[in-house]
Amino acid sequence: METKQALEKWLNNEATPAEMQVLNAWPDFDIYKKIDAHTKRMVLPEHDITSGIKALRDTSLFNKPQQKTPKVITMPMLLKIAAIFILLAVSGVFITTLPTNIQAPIASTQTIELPDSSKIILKQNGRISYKKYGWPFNREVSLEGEAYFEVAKGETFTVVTPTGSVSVLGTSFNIKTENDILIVSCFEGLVSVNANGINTLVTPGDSFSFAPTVVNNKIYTSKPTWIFNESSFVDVPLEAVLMEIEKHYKVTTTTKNIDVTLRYTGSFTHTNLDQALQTVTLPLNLSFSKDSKNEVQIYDPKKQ
Amino acid sequence: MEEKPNICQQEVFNKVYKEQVQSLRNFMFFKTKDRDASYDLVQEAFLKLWQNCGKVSPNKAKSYLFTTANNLFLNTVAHKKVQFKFTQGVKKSQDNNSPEFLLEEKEFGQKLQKALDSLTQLQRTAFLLSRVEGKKYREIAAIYNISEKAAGKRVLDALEKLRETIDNL
Repeated sequence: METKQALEKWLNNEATPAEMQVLNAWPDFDIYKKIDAHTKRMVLPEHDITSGIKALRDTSLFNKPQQKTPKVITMPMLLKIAAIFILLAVSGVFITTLPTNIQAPIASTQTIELPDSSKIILKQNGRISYKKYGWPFNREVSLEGEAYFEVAKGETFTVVTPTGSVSVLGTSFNIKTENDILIVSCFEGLVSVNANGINTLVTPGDSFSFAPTVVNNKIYTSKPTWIFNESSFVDVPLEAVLMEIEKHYKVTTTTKNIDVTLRYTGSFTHTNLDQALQTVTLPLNLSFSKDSKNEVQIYDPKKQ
Repeated sequence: MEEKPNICQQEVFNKVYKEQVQSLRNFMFFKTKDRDASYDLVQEAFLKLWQNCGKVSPNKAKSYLFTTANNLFLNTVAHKKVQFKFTQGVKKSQDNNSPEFLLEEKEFGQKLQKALDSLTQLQRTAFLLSRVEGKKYREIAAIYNISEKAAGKRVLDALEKLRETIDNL
């Protein structure tokens, strides 16, 4: 077995000196060497290269492929060009559908300039998403929360909210979404709202809330007051005003001996709690006290 | 793009011809045992390469030629019985020129011829590629598309068969 392995290696000119020793000591190796030496003396036909090529050239079949060659070279070239175009088209479609997401910080508003110089002021915690690179073809913004829009003139501008969609041509308006409530206030131009399957036109000075019945309120400012760090109300129950105060100042309010359905019209600032409480309570002949750091009590001083 | 070596270019084709023709001729000669038949097969293989020059890259030309020649050979065997015309050439041994030695050499040469003839075509070709051409098992394996181990076994089997035949003559 050992000799057979050595023999196989020897045939491949790879036998080690140790293996050569084994082979040389083996009597049968002589005949193998003799066969090898004799075989190597075989006379081979010598191939004449010049006459061989000439003989090939003389064949009638030899001239055919030369006409084919340009075709063979240009085909992959064409495919490459086609591939580049397909790649460009696919990546173009991909890029234009790429969404841009923006979320306003918890404590401040954020102003967003759109590619056509339309402007969005996003209220605290609001979130919008739009297609930056597909903007010239598709003016569409998704909104969660509240935002004020100043839209440049152009094609239809659409704001999509969970409750309904708002379309305009060029105007300024405010949209507020909260739970299932959608409030659209128009300051300039004309706004069309499609919510719950009903189409409503909102004219300047109107503020519609869509949930679940449509209510029309009037507005008397040229811009929403929250932009100037104020909350304003027109004929709203006191309860709702207090909820807004709780939200802005992170306090809890309690009431004592008063009717929470009292109607309030006015606004309060977002920067000073005492001032805000005063502007709400004074017109209604109420008083307030701050118990501990985060608890506010509203009461009627006459009934004390 | 046009500057890339292509077998369709006459110079490139000629270069491949010069580099490969002799080893291809030997390969066919080992198979056919016939000078003329091996010449025809080699020329036909190169003609096929030329006709398919656009599909074969220069570095694939060698394996294309060997495969094509082998297929052409198998086709000829199918309809033509190969004649045994194995030419043996023995150079004079340098060390001993005594009549006994020369006679023994001649006898051995005849035995070897017969023994080689008794091998299968595959065994004979593999053995001659290894011995005469000095090809490694790896190269033989590449020609036949078999493993290196199988190529080594084929050569070794051929040698053992030759020895056995010679012993019995």
